[in-house]
Amino acid sequence: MAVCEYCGCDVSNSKKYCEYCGAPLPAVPVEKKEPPVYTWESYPSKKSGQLSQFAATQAVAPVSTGGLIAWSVITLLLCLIPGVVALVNAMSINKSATIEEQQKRIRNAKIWCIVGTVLGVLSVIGAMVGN
Amino acid sequence: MTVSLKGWQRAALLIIFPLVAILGFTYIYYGHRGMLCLFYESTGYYCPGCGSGRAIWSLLHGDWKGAFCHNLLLLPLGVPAAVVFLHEYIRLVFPGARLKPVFIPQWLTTGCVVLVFLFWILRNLSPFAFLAP
Repeated sequence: MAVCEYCGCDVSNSKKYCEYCGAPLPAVPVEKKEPPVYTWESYPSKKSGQLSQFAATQAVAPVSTGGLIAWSVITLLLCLIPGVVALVNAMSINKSATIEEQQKRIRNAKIWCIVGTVLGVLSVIGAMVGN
Repeated sequence: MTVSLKGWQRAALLIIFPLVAILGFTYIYYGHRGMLCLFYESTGYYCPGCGSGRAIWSLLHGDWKGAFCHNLLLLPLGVPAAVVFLHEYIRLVFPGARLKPVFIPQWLTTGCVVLVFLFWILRNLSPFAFLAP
C-alpha cells in the first residue's frame, strides 16, 4: 500500500491516479511512513530525574476543503439552516484534533449540504408548480 | 475533500448536475424568478439567500446593478463559490484532468461566515433596508 504525496491518502500500488484527489501517482510508489504517536507514558518520568512532557495526539493532515466550503455557501444561498450547519462543519474540518473527528466533520458537512441542496431544489420545484 | 467515486457515481454526477443546472437557469431566465424561501415564509425575516433568484435573473440578462440590488452577497460570494464548486466537480468527475484540489485559507472561510451573518442581520433592520431584496 502506497501513499499519495498530494493528499496523503492510502492508494493501491497498481493505480496510476489517486482515487481520492485525482493526482497522478509516481511510477515508484511512495511508501507510507507512520508518524510517531506520542503518549504521556512514552516520555521520561519525573522520578528518573528527566523532564516529562505533555503528550501530543497524532498529527492530522490538512484536508482540502475548498469544494465542500463552496458547496456549503451555495447550499446556504439555497436553504439557510442546513447551509449554515454545513458551513460551520466545513470550517472546522482542519481544526480537528484527531482523524476520527476530522472524518466525522467531513461526513456531517456533506450530509447537511445534501439536505440543503435537496430542500433548495424542492423549493424551486414548488415555485415552478405554484406558477 | 477526499472522496472516492465509483464509476456509476461519476456517471450519475455527469448527467444529473448539468441537467439540474440547465433546467434551473432556463426556468429563471424565462422570467420565473421566484424561489420559495422556507425561512421567510415561516418567520417573515429575510435569509441571506433571499433575492438570489431575482439576482441570477438580472445577471443572466446582463443587469449587474439589479443583481447587486436584489442580493448584495451573490456576486462577491456566490459567484466565486460557484467557480470553486465547478472546479471541484470537474476534478472529481474527470480525474484525468489532473486538477489540484482547492485549499481555502481558514481566515477567508471565517471572514465569509462573519460576512454572511452580518448581512443576514443587517438586511432585516430598517436602517439597512437597501440590503433587502
